[in-house]
Amino acid sequence: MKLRILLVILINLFFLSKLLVAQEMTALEILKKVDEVEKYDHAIMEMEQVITTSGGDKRLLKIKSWSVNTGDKQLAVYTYPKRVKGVKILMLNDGDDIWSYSPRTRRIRHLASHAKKQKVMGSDFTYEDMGGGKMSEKYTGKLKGEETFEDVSCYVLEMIPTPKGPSYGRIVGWIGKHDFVARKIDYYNKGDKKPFKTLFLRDVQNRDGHLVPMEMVMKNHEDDGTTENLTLNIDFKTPIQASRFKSNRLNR
Amino acid sequence: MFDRFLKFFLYLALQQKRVVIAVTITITCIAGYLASMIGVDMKWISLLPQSEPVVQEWVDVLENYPMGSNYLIVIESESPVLTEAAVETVTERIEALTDVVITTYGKLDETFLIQHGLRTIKPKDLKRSVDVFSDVRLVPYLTHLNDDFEREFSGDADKVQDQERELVAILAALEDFIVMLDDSAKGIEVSKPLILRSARDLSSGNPYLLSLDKKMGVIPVAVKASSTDWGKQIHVDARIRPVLQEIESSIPGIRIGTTGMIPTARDELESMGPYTFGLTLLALVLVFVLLVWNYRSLIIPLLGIGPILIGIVWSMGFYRLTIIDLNILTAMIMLVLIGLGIGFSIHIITRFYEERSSGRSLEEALEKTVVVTGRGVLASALTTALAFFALMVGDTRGIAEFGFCAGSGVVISLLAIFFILPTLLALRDNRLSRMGKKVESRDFIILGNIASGVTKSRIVYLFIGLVLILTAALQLRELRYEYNLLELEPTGLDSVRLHKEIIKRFKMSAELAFMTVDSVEESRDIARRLKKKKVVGDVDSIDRWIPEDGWIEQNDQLVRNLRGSLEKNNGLNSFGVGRVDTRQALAEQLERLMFNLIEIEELSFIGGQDRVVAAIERVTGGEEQEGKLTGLIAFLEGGSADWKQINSFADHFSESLRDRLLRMVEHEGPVTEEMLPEKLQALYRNPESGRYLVQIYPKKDLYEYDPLVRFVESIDSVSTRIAGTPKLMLLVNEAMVRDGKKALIAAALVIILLLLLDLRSPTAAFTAMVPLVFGTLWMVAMMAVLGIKLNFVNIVAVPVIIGIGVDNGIHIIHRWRQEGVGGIKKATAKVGHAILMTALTTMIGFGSIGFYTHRGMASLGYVLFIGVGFCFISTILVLPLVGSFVEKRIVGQPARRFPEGEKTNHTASSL
Repeated sequence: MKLRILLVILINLFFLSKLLVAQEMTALEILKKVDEVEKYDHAIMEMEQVITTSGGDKRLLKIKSWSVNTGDKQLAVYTYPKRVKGVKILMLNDGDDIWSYSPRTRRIRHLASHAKKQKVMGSDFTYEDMGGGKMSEKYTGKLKGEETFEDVSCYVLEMIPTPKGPSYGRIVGWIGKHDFVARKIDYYNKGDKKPFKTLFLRDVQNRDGHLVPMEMVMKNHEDDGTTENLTLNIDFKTPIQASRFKSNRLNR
Repeated sequence: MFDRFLKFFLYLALQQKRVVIAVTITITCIAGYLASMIGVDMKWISLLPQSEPVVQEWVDVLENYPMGSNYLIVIESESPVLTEAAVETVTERIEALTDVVITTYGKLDETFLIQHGLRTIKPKDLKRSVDVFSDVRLVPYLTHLNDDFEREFSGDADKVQDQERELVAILAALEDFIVMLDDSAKGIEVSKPLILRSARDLSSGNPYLLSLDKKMGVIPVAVKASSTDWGKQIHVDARIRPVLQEIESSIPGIRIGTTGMIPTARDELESMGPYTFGLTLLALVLVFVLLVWNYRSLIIPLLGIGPILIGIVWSMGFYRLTIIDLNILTAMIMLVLIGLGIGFSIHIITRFYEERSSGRSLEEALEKTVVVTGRGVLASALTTALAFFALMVGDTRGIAEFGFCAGSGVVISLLAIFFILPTLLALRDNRLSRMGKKVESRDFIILGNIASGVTKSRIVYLFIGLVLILTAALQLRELRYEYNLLELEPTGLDSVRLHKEIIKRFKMSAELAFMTVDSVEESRDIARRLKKKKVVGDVDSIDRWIPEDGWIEQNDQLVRNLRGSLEKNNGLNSFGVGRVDTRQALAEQLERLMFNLIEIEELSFIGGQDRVVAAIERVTGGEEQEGKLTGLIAFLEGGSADWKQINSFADHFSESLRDRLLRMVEHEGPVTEEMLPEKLQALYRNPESGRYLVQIYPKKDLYEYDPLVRFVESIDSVSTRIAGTPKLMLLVNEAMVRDGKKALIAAALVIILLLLLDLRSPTAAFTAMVPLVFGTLWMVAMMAVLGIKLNFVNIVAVPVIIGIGVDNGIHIIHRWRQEGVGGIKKATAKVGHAILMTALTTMIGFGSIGFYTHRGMASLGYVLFIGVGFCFISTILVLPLVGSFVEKRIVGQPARRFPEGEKTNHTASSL
């Protein structure tokens, strides 16, 4: 008798779970949710970047950045150490158009279009990692399942770049089920089975109504380098003048 | 069995004195002869387990490829030109030592570089060279160079990392070029050889192994000595060094030194050899003085020390027959044996005079001494020896050989003492009797009182003891391990200084990792993957010189293009009177060059390409130095430049560069292995196995633990087959710690087993272990308090202290049983005297190791000194305290097969 009851419960649970899965979000819906969470009009941020170089040396950099339209236009200025103080990186059109400025030479340089794939100033982030744009437009996704990562229930999404998207072969993201903030992203080269780098996003905080991972760690598995971006301050309220993003004003 | 064994020595002492003396002299002469041939191999690498795959790979590579990584000649001077000249001279003279040297690698074959160098590089990079060198007049050349920098490196940190070696080479050559241009601007005529040198460096690259400042040249020497044959290595060094000294004295302004595994081990040996002799002598003298004070006699200490010295000579002769050479751990075995052996002698001598002063006859006293006390000595010595032998479970040669040497040395020393000492005591006793003299024995009543006092207030002392144990246990967390092998070396060694200087000036370490591969293509693939690793400074492999098949056609075409351009653009420079345009163009291009370099430096600084940063700082200036290019630009802007001299220099430079490049574009077609210079072929490919060698240079000093682990993990992610010095450095530390733990457990098990067998009571056995447990615990805690780190040398202190601790415990328990219940006071007073003298003499013996300049050895001395002291304290204080709780179980259970008469003589105390 007890066995029968148990069997009935199990069968019901089975159908109930099927029903729930049917109600699960699609990959596209998840990506759109991510876009909604990441969306902002303008942001001013101060952060520390710690680059672990060969042999474990750590280089501490301090950066102040201004960005609008969810990173469509971004300006980063290095404020520390002295050797690179005043160096500026300007990214326009979601990172398609990149300019740099060195105060020591007072030269403004326009980087070649392929520079998107390059590392930003020796860090393990590339320009396209830093660029803005909507995930749902840059990638087509496929829901691979659900996993708990660092105590957060996540959707696991495999994302293939669209023709307009980044240069990676594919990426796999762990997206928080409840807040749609990415917690981990594995980056793959075309045809590779192992990721060549992994981004960890931690310490998610609500700042001015926006969910922001205050700590981002990029671990490069190819050269064993690590770059940590620690957000010290972020301000979504103060508007930013459009002139700040003009390449010919970088030397001012 | 033990009794019969001991009675045999009694028989010899009483009946066969002449035989004993004759046999002793004979064995000692033979052993002395053998001992004189024993060598000391100070290389830490010799401690490693030879069965480990990475060790085998290391030996295999060193035996089959003429690498020079173990012997580096380092030339220092203030002038790069002088350094290069000295490298030439040294190379020629050292390569002439054909009996000991295979070859050297201080300079690349220039003929090969000129004839084939261009075609060995990727078509993409060759295209860049073709563009840069298409017109070698100063302004066009600098313009193309700037174009190249901007195109290739502007904002591209990846490329700076990928092309670090090439970039550093160009920057070093540019620095010299700028210095010459600056001299010209100031009206100084630049010599033709310097211009030719600059043209060489800018086209085919500097062929010497020079530091970034070009003032240090390194010559790796492949020597004809097996990596495991220390005697031969020393011989090779002895042949090379006088030649270097002669060259050094004949060329003013240069300094020549040596570093690498062989010279470092030689320096250690030279710094330790005289110390070993001197410290052994010092220890013996101090022990002698102490014993003279104790026995109030000049002769008795000699009786005690003599058999030990003879035992050590026998042991050394035995080592020569078995392990052949001592290693860095067994080098101080003599001091360990003195420390342990003196204890055996003291127990025997003390008991003998104790018995004689109580009125027993010589025969009775000697019987008591040899058979009764001898049994305790035998039990403790065998326990100690077996504990040492248990160390042979270790995989590392270092620990295993130490176990073997210490174990066999204890047994041999014990045999020598039993064989000789009773005879000497009997001979002296006969002489004293004839003279009507008598030796008085002294008890150390105070020790008995202390032990007795502890047992009377045992709850208080138990509480204090528990607090002390807890404190010690807490301190254990603070104990650290010293992974940096250089921190154990003697201070002031030139080889160690040069090792550090190489890392500082090359921004790269010479501690090579390597692997062998099946083909050139596999070598290329591995090298490509390794170069991506941030921890890798450089990769040297055959693919560097062999272009891929697909490159040949493209490279031939590019070579033809360059030839065409050079033939076409053969005009002169024009900075003469009235040529404001070209003068201005030169100034502009120099400024542009400076800006490009600054921007590359900014990228390199953040990305950690320290060599690039250092090389650029030398040109553009940095926080600590003035930039040569900055100075030149300022001078040109100042308007007082000597343009006639600049023009002359520019013409000479362009002509030299063009001539060299035209020679470089004479040849076309593939570059094959067979076209490589013979010494490079031999370096990269073993003709028998057909396998190729890939050498990996770390960026950082791998004697530091964190970079070492990082480097090993990083290269392991490319291939776990990569071997070499870095992995061995990690292995030696990890294996010693692992073996140390293993040996500790094995020794503890052996000791427990032997104590159970000897004392026939678990309670007595565990009580006997009290001094070793507490002594070791407090010793380790005190190390943490004093900031003494564990290292691969002083880790052997743990088994030595266990040996000494158990020795003390056995003697006390044996005597306690003889004295009966309530006899701890008397037992401690009697045997405590011998234990105190043993502790003091051992502390002197071990403490003298603390005076070694070798910091690893010295730390062993400190640790043993502390350990012996704590063993004594715990023997006198803790053992009686613990034993008092279980006295009946200890004393009530007599020792196995006590000799006749002893069981009923507990209270007589043998007085």
